[in-house]
Amino acid sequence: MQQKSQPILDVQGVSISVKTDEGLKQVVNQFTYHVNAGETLCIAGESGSGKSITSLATMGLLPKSSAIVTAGKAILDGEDLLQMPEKRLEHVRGNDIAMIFQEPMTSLNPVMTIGDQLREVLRFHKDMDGRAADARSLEMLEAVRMSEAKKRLEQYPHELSGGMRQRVMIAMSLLCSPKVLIADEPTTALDVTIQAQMLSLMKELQREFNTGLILITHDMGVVAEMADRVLVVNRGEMVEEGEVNSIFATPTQPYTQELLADLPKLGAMSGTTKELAVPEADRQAAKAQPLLQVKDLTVRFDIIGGVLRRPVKRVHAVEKVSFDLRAGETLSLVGESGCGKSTTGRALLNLVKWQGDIQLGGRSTRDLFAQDELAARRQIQMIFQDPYASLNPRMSVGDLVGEPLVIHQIGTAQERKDRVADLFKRVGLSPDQLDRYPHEFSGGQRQRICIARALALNPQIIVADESVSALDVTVQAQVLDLLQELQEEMGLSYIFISHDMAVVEQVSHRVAVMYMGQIVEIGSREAIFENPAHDYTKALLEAVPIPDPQIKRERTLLSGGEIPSPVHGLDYQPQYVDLKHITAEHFAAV
Amino acid sequence: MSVLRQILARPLAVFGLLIVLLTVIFALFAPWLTPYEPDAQMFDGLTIEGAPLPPSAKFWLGTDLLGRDLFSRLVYGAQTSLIIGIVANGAAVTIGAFVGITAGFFRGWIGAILMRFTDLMMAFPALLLAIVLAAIFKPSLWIVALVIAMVNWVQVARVIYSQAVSLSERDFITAERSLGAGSWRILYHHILPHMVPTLLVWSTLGIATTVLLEATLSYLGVGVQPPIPSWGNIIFENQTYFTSAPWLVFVPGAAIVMLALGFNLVGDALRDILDPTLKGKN
Repeated sequence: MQQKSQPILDVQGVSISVKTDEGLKQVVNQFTYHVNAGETLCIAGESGSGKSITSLATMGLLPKSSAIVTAGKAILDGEDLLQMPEKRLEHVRGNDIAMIFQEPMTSLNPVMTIGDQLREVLRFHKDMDGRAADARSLEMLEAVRMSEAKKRLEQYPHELSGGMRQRVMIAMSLLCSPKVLIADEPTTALDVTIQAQMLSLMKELQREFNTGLILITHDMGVVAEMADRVLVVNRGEMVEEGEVNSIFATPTQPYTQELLADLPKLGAMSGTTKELAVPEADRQAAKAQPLLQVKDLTVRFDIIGGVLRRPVKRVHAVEKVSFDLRAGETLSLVGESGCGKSTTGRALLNLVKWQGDIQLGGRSTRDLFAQDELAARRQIQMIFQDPYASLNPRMSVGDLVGEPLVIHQIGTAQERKDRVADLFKRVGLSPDQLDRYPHEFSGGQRQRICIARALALNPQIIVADESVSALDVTVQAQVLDLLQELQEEMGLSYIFISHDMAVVEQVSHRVAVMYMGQIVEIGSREAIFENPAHDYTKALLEAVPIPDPQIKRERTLLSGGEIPSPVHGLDYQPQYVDLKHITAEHFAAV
Repeated sequence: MSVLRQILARPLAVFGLLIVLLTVIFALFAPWLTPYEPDAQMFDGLTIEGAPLPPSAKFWLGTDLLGRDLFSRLVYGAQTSLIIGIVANGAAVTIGAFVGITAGFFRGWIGAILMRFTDLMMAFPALLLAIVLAAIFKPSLWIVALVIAMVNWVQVARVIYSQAVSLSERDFITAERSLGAGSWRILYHHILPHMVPTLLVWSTLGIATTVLLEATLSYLGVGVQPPIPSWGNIIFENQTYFTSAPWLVFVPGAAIVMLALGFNLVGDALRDILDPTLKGKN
């Protein structure tokens, strides 16, 4: 069907060094790969593997002040891109080789309309006049299945959703029908259902335009979905290269094996039940008397605007959410961005203003926080998404972990010190590192520090808000193991907030699916994953990329919908869903 | 004193520290260091035509238009400039930080009023304001320092305000709240340490602008009153002789620049030394 024999882009032995205070440090060592027409090469690796910097180098986009190519060639059409003068590169970029970046908002110019940005590319590269450029822009927007394409040409980037912006980026990169398209984590910033749309769109377009696609990703699910060939890289070294089926079926290198083994796989827990992490005798009691009872939790934020600084619109973040959490249980809140899952978690800790009723151990938390805030906080703690952002960078990690003890005036200075050292050991860090600062640790270690800090007060409940989302898979697996161990050992209860269905399946006892501020389905893990009742739950599950190249999903999500916005006018009356009883503990709005 | 040791390990910081120390010594020991009284008008300090004398063995830096010894005036002027620089700028930074933090961290209606007032002050020409204030109060060294502080706190407040706002939105502040930390604890342990670099930069950079503002005020007759010398009023007294006796402008000008440079170098070094997030990077 297509000619796949001829490499269009041939990268040979490229090495890159970055400038540091101690001199040059090599970050990419002799990368060699090629991509053929109509073929997808996935470069897979974790953070710091050198996967992105290589592609920047081939585009001639390396920041000259901080990084240099020390060796190698990148041949496109018989010309070496790495030796090309800047003037010629400007012509080649966008025309023969194009790039899609991770963050669609920052890659589009916020003060130019979509149409102007598309037309500019055509005018520069193809010397097209206004009308021809208009026609071509519209044609491309339609090609990326943009709804109401004509209207979009006149809109500014901020008027579009994340998914639509990424469609614009894809349209822009394909305007001049480039021979090679480099996509650097193009779907990482997007929600799963939108990611599924984008991936199938890219696949479709690639077939149409016969483009060679280099897809850079950390997500092995995406790799399995998209790749013809895979290059696995780690710490600036090439680990393994091969055809996608053989990499997944018979990985030869230990690193690839580990990467695949650590990958949470949807359906891996099928047919198993997870018991509460409390002694067997207490299980019935735990079920009968929940630790935390949330009833009709509602959180709304006013958007202030206008000259008079009055509320003009309202965000209906959480609307009448009710659930129970039992001792020793993990309840996951899943949903896409803006569904209210994080806000729910924050309301539990009284970090936002909320309405409704939350009972903690039979007492209303509203009273608890009003009368004795510290006592309430000793029972419920939180771990945030970004461990670096949630640690004060100017304090040593020992002080940070010991801080809750100081705030709550627990123990003497010496006792506190011992406790911090114990906590450090408990989460798998060495107490020798207590005097260091957060920036001296890796992402996984920092999250361990945050966990130690949350444990310092011996809470019964920990709210984990996307706590492993920012971590590489191998590190993610270790942190998830630690959380499970702690639960079994201490009988902790978790509210596990996540968008990642595969991870949720791995850790949860029960799952609540949130959509537009409300729970649309709640039930045991088995019920939700093996017998989903609500359409949205089904869509979420279908959208997860399956890390097995043998299974090709049916693609029906091409144009797909967008996630609706929770922002409404002041007089908006929310429509409440009605949860119907399905089986024993399984409720869904159907 | 590990901070002092770290400063001594940086050649630039040592240079800056030397300049500052030298100025302080000049200011403290002026009577013993100067060959003449600063306001003594000497008959042999002028040429027959009445023009200032260039630097010589007798008058090391020459004389000014009234036949006074420039070196003696410069050394005495260090007193004025240091007092103005440190007191006025210190007061400006303190007021600015206080207003900025109150408005940015505690917010509320008090914060809103404070920031609107700050905006109003910014819209008002600083020099005009200083002149009005200086005209109301009888000019003395301390009044001039106060006037300068009243004018200069505005920029500091604006900068500190936006920093306080962005800091209090950071995740680690939410994390602290979730641990049960109160507002004062968060302010003292988690907000203020992050403002140290900004405050240090203002405390040092601001000295230069303060000295210059004092010079401007002196020139307009509402600053430090003659015959008390300040580096600023030496320049402005003598500027009419600029073409025939350029040293009268260059030397005190260089003194101002050197003092500002000295404070900046020390400030830069302090900022790096006190920043634990740079630990292990140099």
